[in-house]
Amino acid sequence: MQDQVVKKVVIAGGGSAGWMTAQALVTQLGPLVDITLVESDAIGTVGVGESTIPTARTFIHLLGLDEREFMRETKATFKIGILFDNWARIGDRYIHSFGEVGKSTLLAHFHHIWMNARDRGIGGDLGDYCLELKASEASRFFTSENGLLNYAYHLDATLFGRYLRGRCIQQGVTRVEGRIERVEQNGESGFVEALVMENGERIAGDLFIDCTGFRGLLIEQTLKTGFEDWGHWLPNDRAVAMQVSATEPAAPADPRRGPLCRLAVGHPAAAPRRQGLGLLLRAHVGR
Amino acid sequence: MAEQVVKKVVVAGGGTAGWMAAAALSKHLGSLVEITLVESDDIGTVGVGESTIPTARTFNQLLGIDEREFMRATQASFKLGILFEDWARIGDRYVHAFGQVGKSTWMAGFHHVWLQARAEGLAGPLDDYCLEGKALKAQRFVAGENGPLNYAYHLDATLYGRFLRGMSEKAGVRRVEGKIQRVDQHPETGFVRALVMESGEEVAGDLFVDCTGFRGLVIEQTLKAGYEDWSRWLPTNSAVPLQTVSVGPAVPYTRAMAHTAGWQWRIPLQHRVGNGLVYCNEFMSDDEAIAMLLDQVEGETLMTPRVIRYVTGKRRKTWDKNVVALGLASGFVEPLESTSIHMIMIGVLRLMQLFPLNGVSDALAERFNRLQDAELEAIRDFIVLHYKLTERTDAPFWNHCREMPIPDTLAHRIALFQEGAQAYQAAGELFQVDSWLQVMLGQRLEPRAWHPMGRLMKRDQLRGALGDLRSNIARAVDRMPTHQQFLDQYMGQAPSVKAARPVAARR
Repeated sequence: MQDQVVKKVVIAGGGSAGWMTAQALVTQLGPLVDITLVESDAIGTVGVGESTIPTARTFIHLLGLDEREFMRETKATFKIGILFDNWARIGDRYIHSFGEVGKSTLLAHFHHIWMNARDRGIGGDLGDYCLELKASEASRFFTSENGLLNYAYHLDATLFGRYLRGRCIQQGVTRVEGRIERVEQNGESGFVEALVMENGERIAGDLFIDCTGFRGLLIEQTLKTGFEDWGHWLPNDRAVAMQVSATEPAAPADPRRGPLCRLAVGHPAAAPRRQGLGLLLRAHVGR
Repeated sequence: MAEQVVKKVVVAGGGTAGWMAAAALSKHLGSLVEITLVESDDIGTVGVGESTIPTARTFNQLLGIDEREFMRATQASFKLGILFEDWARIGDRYVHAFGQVGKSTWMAGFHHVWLQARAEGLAGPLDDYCLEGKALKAQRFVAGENGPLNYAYHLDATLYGRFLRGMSEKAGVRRVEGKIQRVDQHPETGFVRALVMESGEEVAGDLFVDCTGFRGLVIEQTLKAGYEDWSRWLPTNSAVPLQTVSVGPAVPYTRAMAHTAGWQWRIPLQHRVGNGLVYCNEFMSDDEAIAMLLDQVEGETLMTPRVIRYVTGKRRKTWDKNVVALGLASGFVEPLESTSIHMIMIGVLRLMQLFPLNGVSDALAERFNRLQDAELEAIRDFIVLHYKLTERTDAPFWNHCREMPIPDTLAHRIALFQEGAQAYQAAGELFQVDSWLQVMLGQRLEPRAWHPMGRLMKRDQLRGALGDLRSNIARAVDRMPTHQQFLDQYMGQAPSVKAARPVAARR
């Protein structure tokens, strides 16, 4: 029989990544491993990842979360796509929705048939053949057991972390409060052996999960794994995030405030309830 | 509206690949393009690809072929997998069946649970948890609307070509008899303009499908697309087919029996048995091979054995300019996992999906080439695995296989399985995890560790889950008729009115 080598898992960092990992591990492998999460109240989280894609539902399901409870706890709304403003040309708007467009065959995807129909003056917009796209344009939504729409959520990332933290601790995850002072490695293999806290406490483990954000305290500052810069393809390097109170209902008839996440060039845009606004930009253009 | 540029398609060569291409193109695009197939009765076809995998059913369904009619016309039998004999060690036997092994979850494949149960003394042989594997070993079979088994066919490739030719000609494909004397190219672009026949006839076209076999008359001899030699990984280079009279009931599987310098196949059809010896002529002479084969086969021989020589590998560009190569002209790994007809099918399918009606473009050709390359490379790795995992030391050929270098992609797969019983099917790959693990375990690649899924289950729960699965499968197989009984009964009935039922893309 195989020997169990990994008995203690240590998660460094308690943002969305840290608590999602802790929750998944404790739900699925809880009886086999001890899980400790180290975080500091003094270190803020980025917590702007507020918009998700439908895989979030799979994950929620795997974590054994009840959808209503999860949505109440994280003040979530539904999302069925993204409205892109001003991308190809100023004034342009298009929707990338989560749905399937038309019905495809083994031989050709639906859009080939649609293009041919369009040439012959038959049929309307491509979006007319996608349920999610139509629903997002109309700011409408519906779900149930076997619901038809493929959807995701907009959620408050800080509340999500807090919600998972509560559950994790209840299920046996040990939370250690404090800052990590240094990382202890094996003299020969370089494997990480423990996190040493500012108060001197030593958190030993067999497997470490680095959720310390951009700085990568273990994976980069300790192991020097290296980073591949993609800035030449993805030029934005700053984000400004800001929250405002919700001034309008979350599902109005106006598609501009519907179950859509808006990504705009040049101006901030709205999402419902407490609204998360953000602006991505490239600093020092030309340098 | 975009202008239609490709109006005439010319298929060069009328073996299995040529007629599969002609049949599929005429069925689906026949109203848009004119299709001509050029072949010569004087040139024999290789036609030994007699064993298929379940995608053959998808292809039949796509062509609207009635299963019984097809099976009668090609003297086909059903196939549930392959029985491998003497591969890791002399005396070893294992099954690679088409079915799923056990029930897997998103976190871990069934085999992880099975490995845990085996370590605790609670598990039976792996095949007991696979309906197709169990049925195969019991030589039982059943099919029908929503039948439980995932299966393929053994067929007579020559008859299959004839059957598809009938369909194609009915659908309007023009057949030109004769030998191709030369290929006429555009002086500037190098695009092929016409095939010039020995009779002087010019068969002009906009798109050419090269199905001329190993020589690649258009793709290689004319366009010089190049060939990537894989013989350092796949050392066999010769095959001798031999047909014999059936001496017993047809079994629902192909046999792949390793010998001292390669392996021997045995494929049962309705009217005869297809046999053949695959070997590397550096380790075995042609005479030795023929003698061994004649000695091994059962039943009266129906032909004189002839040697087919090949180089395993892949055409560098299977779509080059306005020429698309299919079948042996596009590359060949060897017949061990019966993938030749699949490669033709998937090639025709992709050609139709990417059909350049408005003109050939680099992007379309590149997409096609990448897909075909990835398909064949994954199959290559799977086949190399069978040779690499041998423990045989009885012959120089096997010593060579055991010690030969292997592709990095495969070395990684072997390490993954050895270290943590992890197997995977990458996106777009043909062989499922179930296939990889049947061969890996069948050839004694023992994992040192596996996923803890099984440890999370209590001993009674583990025993119960495996026991239920095993007894349900055993009961289901007990209720099936033997393959020969089912085949007799199935072939005795009148062809059903509607086409074979749709087959999900389960392979």
